[in-house]
Order: sequence, then structure tokens, then C-alpha cells
Amino acid sequence: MIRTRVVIKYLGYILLFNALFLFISATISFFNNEDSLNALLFSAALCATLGFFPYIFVEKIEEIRFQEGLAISVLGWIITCIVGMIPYLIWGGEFTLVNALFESVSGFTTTGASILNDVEALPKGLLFWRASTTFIGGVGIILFVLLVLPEKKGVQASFYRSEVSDLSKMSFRTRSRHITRIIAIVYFSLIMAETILLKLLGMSLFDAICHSFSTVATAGFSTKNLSIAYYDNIWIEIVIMFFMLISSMHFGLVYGTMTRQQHNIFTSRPTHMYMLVIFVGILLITLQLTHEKMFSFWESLRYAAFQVISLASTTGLVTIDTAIWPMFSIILLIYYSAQCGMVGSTAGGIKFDRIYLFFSSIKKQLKLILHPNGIYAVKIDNKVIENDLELQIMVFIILYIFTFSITTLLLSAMGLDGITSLSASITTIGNVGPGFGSVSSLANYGHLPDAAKYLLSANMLLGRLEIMNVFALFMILSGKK
Amino acid sequence: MIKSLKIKILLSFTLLIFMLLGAGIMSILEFRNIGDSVDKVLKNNYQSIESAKKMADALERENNGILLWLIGDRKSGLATVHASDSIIRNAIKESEANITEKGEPRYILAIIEAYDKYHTAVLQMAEVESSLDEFKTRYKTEIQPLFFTTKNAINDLMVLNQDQMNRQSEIVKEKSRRAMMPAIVSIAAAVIFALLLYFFISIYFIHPIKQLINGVMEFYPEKGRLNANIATKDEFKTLENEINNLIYRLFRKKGSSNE
Repeated sequence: MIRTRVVIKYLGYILLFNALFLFISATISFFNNEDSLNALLFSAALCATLGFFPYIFVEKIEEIRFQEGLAISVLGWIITCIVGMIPYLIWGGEFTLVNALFESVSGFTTTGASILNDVEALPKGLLFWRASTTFIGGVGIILFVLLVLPEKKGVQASFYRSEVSDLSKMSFRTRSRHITRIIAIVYFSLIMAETILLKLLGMSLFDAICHSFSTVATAGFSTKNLSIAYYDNIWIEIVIMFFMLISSMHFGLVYGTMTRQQHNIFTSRPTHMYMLVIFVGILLITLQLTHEKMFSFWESLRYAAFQVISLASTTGLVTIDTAIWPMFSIILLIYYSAQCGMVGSTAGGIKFDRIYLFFSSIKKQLKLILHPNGIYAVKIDNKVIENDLELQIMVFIILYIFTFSITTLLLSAMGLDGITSLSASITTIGNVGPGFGSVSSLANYGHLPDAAKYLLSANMLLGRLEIMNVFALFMILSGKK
Repeated sequence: MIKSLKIKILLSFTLLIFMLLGAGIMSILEFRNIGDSVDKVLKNNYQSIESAKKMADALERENNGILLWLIGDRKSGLATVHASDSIIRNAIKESEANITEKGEPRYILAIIEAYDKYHTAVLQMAEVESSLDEFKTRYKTEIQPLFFTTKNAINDLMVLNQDQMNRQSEIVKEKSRRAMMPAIVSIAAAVIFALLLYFFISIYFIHPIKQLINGVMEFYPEKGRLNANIATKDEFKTLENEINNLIYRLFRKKGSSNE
């Protein structure tokens, strides 16, 4: 049984956390004398008021149940996305109700798909709020709240169960109470390092911070209409590529590498495979672009590397319009949009580890056909995957494919062309951002029908919450055991 | 954790008042902004358009004056030219005193230059004695083109201000939407707030009262104490404790009287 007051109290925490970032954005607006100040300040005050309200009544919580943790996690994301759209809605411009919701969901789920035709028309305060949504969404609002949570360890443990997947926990070779600290250290270190490097390479401090938020959170929001193509600077692209790649790897492994532990990105087999798959993609696209005489070899390598890493890491920053690339390259890029980064990272989507385990599982089944009495196990970095987890992964992949197939079908029914429907479904559920067709890398989602925007917003949320959690909550709320 | 019911209620309503005040202040600020924008449109752009219209009308009249002069009514023709000249120059002065747009001085300078040439040509024609055919030719080749140049320059100024006026009206529209939004958001937030308040009142006020009533109803002297299971540490818990103290005192008194 879910205790509603407990859920409300933690949703209050989440609102207060959002209010903090809204106040920071309002401060930026104030110092730049912008017309977004009132919208941001009002939204911040509203969030703070609603967030503080449960504190007046609800007593200190000693422990929360798993179902409550799940409800807080799912509802927390939904409420965050709703309050996140308020400053956009009040400010106006291109933000209608559906556009504001889409932009907010896209930010918090680190999708990075935008409805804006002119990003540069936004005031700095609002641009910072937009970047903040990706920063908050990167490691998840719940984990952020855990960092500052004054409650007991029993409460934190319950959140871990609902927010961090079992597969992800495996590569954190530490006790669960240290996981938040590790994630925070890696996250903030990467952001700081990237900001410094981008600033040194000539970006303004504001742009460097916003792009670092966007890269490390693998989101893809830029402060420029042309995204990274605006800078036309190979060194900026290399820095961003490095951080996109590293942010799409398991943070436990990144931490292991930073602290020179035995279990790190250089010793992890799934990470090797992930890098190999990305390398193959870059190579194939480079060869095709060169062969088709679209660019010289080095130019092809530059564009292919950035786009493959950007989509494979689910970031979505761009340096070129990929919509005009040959179909083989487009299909490869769509594959990377579906495959996504690794578990335990800020990336969304199926996650490479699941695909790796999926194929390992197929291999196991084939062996069992040949040797029915044999005992085989699926392993990841020498750790045996339990049958339950194996089954869970299979179900997740099937559900994932089912969800984006339904979305594709519905988008087609709304009159969108095939490539747009398919790529929009895959990139939103995978929290990637840019698709192909009319939602390609240098286009946006603004022209889509309102119903499509609502559908894709739901898709982004489903993708970020890894689908199963949402269905599990519905089952709990409907009273099914 | 706040233990006093009074403070809990006070804080709840303070938050509600704070929220509504915030929405009210923001709407007032936005409406004031709209007022300023409307004022700007009326005072600045509309005034400039009016001045340009005056110039255009006076220019037409000056041209009519020349035509009067051409058909022989030289006295009233010249009088019309001079009167119109005075109106145009005053209108130009008005425009110069009301520059609101970027590039507007350039447009006014273009009018002054074109009009000076036109007016000089008109006066020169009036000073020289020629035949009607010669006047007609001179009007067509020299004065009429200068008239059109001046008229176009005036039109350009008018279009500049009209465009800006349209833009301002779009901004006003956008601002009125912005002024409405905080109110709409606040209404939605107030509804959520009211629902939450209702929820908390039923959990932390109604429920303990029901628990106390049930506790009293299920109380038997054999039990020795009332057990209402009040979980909070507020006045309801104090009341439960005080009822138990009362029961204890009554039992003690009854016991001592029995003895």
C-alpha cells in the first residue's frame, strides 16, 4: 500500500530542487536585464511554495517502501517535466502549451529534441534553464535529491531499487550507499573538465557551461541554431566527442579509470565491444561518404565520427545535416539511435549492455540446442547473469521494440512520412534527439502536429523511465499484485 | 517538523497568500508593461505617422497650387504654395522631434533633401516669365519627378512607422498573453494547493479526531487507558495524553473514595 503523504513529501523535495535551478536562471536573467526574469522568478516561487507545503504537515520518514519509491520516481519525473514547462509557457515566443511541454520533457529526459526554430532568440536566463533541465535529467532528479536527502539510509536504499537498474548496479563494485557519491563525482568532474576545455578553445563561459551540461548529460541542447556546426572548430568537436563518448559509458567504470582501479573502462569487455561497434560505424560511414564523393576522406571522417558518437551516446549535438547522406549511412545512424549508450551512464535507450547480453543469451540458447545437458551461463565481466535478469532484459527489449513500433504506426497515421515516423519514434524513446526526414539534425520538431508532439513527449518519458517502471506503477496503482 | 496545529494552519494560508500575491504582482507588472507598450505605440509611432500624413497632404496641396498658378490664377496659386510649405516644414520639425526608430533620421533627411529641391524648383519656375507650353514642359520634366521623389520619401517614413506599429501590436499581443499566463498557472496551482490542503486536513485533522472519537467509543473502564493511536506529536497527541491523565485521575479518585 502506497502512503500518499510520503509520496507527496518527496515530490516536494523534487519541486524544491527545481526551484533552486529556476532561481539561478532568474539570477542570470536579472544580471542580463532580460524579459524572462518575471517568468523564471514566478516559476521558481511557485515551485518553492508547492515544494515546501508538504513540510508543514508530513513528519520525518524513517523508511519508504519499494512501491512508494517507484511512485516517487515515476511521478517525480512527470511533475518535474510539468513544472519545467512553466517558465517557457509564461515567457511565450514559440512556446505554446504543447511546445513548452515538449521542450521541457525533452530537456529533463536528456533527449535534446527541440521545437524551436530560433534558439538564439531565447534570453540567456531561459537558455540556462533549458540547459539546467538536461543537467538535472542527466543523472536523474531522484539521484540528485538523494545527494542532499536528509533522510535515513532505508529511504535511500528504496530509491536505489527503483531508480538504478539491476544491470547497472553490477558494474558499481561498491556498496549501494556509495553509488550516489560515485555518480556525482564523475558527473561534476566531467562537466567541470569539459567547461574548462571549451572555454580555453574559445567558447564563451556561458556557452561552455551550457554545452558541457548538454554533452555530459548526453542531451543535445545547444545555445546555437546550428548546434556545434556554428563553431566550425575541429578541436571543439574533438573535445565534445570525447566527453559524449565517456559520458555514455558506465560511471562506475569511469570512476574506476579515474581512480586507477582494476575494474575500469579498459578492462570491461562490454565497453570494448561498445567502442568497437562505434569504430565500425564511423569507418563504414566515412568510407561511404568518401566513395560517394560527398566530402574528402578527412572531412568524411570528421563528420562521421561526430555524428556516430553523438547518436550512439544519445547526445544529439550536430555538425552537419545528415538528412542528405546516403541511405546506408542513414540506416546505420538509425541503428546507433536505437542501440544507445551503456547502462550506468547518462544515456537513454535500450543500452548497449542489453544488446550485448541479448546476443550472449542467443549464443547460450544455441549451445543448449547442440548440448541439451550442458550448463551454460551468460556472463558480463566474469559475473554470471541470473536467469531472472536475463529474462527481464529480453522482456525489456521486446517491450521497447513494441513501444516504438506503436509510436511509428501512430505517427504515420497522423500523416508523417515513413522515415520521419520511424526515426522520430526511435530517437525519442531512445532519448537521442535528432532524427531523419523532416526531423533531421538541423531541423526541429516544431512543425509536427500537436498530437504527435504529445505522443513523442510520452515516448521520451517512457524511454527515460525504462518503460517497465511506468507499467509497474500502473499495476500498483490499479491494485494488481 | 512543526508540532503546533495553529502554526501549521497559519503557514499553509501564508503560502497560499504568498502564491496569490506573487501571481497578482506579476500580472500587474505585465499589464503595466502592456500599458507602456500601448503608450509607446500611440505616442511615438502614431505621432510620426500623423506628421508624415500632414506632409503628404501639404505636398499635394503645394502641387495643386502650382497647377493653379499654371492655369493663370497666379496669386492664389503662390499663396497655396507658401502655406503648404509652412505646413510641411512644421511637420518635418515634428518628425525630427519624435524620432523613435533606428534609421528614422536618415528617412527624415531624405524628405528634407527631396522637398528642398522640389520647393526650390517650384519657386524658380514662378520667378521666370515663360509661355504656358514652356511651363508645362518644365513641370513635367523637372517638377513632377521631384514631387514624386518627395512623396516617396514621405511614404517611406510612413511605412517605417507603420511596420514598427504592427510589430509593437504583436508585442502587445504577446505581452497580454504573458500577463494572462501567471494568472492561469496560479489558478491551476491554487487548485492543486487546495486539493493538497484538503488531503492534509483529512489526514492530520479529521483522521485524528475520528481516531479520538473511536478511541472514546471503544473505551471500557477495564482497559484502563484510551488508545487512539495518534501518530503525530501535535495537539491531538497532547489531547490523547490529557484524556488518559484524566482517566487516570478519575480512577485514582474513584479508588480512594472506595477505600
